Amino acid sequence: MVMELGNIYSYLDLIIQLLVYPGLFFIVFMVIFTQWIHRKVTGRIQYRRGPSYTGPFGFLQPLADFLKLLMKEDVVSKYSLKLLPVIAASLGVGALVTLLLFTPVAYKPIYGFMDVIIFFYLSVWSALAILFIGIGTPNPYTSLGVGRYMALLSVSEPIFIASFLAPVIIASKYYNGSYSIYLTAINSHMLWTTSVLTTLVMLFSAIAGFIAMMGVLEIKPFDFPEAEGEIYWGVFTEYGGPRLALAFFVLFTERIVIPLLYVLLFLGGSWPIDITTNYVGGVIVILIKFLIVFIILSVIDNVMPRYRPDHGIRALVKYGLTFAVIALVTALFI
Amino acid sequence: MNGIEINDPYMLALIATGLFILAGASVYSIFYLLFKKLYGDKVRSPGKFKEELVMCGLEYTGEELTAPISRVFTDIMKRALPLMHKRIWETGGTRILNDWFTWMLIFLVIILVIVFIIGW
Repeated sequence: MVMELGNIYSYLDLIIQLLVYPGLFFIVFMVIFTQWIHRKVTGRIQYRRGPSYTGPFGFLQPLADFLKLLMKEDVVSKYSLKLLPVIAASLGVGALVTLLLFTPVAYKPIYGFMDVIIFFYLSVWSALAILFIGIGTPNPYTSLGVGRYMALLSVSEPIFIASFLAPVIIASKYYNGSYSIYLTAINSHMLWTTSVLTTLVMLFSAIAGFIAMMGVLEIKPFDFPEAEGEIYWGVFTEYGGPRLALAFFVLFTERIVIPLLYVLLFLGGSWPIDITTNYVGGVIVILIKFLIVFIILSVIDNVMPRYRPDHGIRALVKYGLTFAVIALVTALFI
Repeated sequence: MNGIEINDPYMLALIATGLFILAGASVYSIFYLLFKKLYGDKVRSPGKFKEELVMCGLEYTGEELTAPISRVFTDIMKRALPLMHKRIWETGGTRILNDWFTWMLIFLVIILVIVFIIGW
């Protein structure tokens, strides 16, 4: 049933969705779950067992680490920004959480004409938050990290936007998608088979989207803004305690929301189940697909070496940008 | 379809902004303020602020080291895309490459061209 705003229940629904499911509470659970998976995958690749002590199969280890950081004293350098990085990090998480309300994962999603603009508006907040967190401290290694992160973003964000826009444009042309993320996501499985050209556009944009996703999420080989051991920890070098916890919160939430959107736009969303008629089944399919993408990203993150910043940027331009531009231009003139 | 349909993009933008500020305020209140009040403030240490410049957990007292962010950015771009850099250098000089605003202006123009092509 389509609801109109103005009804008190629609506002209540929005707030419950924002704070509980698929909002804040769900994201906290997913951060714990995905970080446990990531650590287990890392452990297996490095011939270790991974977390196994806290909770069943070590499931609660990421939560324990998160709480440990949150309970520490908040120490700030005299020369760094005091409150603004914390606010930026909180808003970064808030923007990513809100983004989920525009997808079929929400039980009463928000959608409308041109909501793809809101999607890009919200998705850029997390990147800006991480940037701001780094700028807030006066450390040469942090500055190096921020400079590298700026270079990475200035290439990977356009690829991300161009590649994620291509399926939205096709859905709007063929399935009355109204440039809406939600309407594109529920029709995304049909975009692959509409015509030969749409198949090509989807293939190219899926490749470019995956490369852009690796760049935006700082997955190896594009993790040069952090580059542990080379520039210590880049953007996060000087952080500890609750500030580091919030910075990680942004980073790990981003690693849930962006792959989830990739599944919705490129991997058919809830296909083979129709989420509009079977909501629970559809969400389970989406989460299974998300988990597969997340595990693939974790494996890549563990087995790949790191690019030098200039090599990384060149690789993004050469492979990601080329595919993204071809896909976008074809989608526009199809 | 089961959902909340808002077809006015401006209203949609306002609602999205309101929602994400509410979510951000919840994160700030729960995960920063509440934990700070319950646990962080009870930890006693000589001072909340580090007086010296902190580097990698230690107070740094040697000569001042700086790494200008814009130069790091420019240098990476110069090495990654030497041809583009050379062309911009020859036509506009170094000022353009060091100007973060110009980079963003280029991306804005690209977006506007795309929007024009689509016919929005």
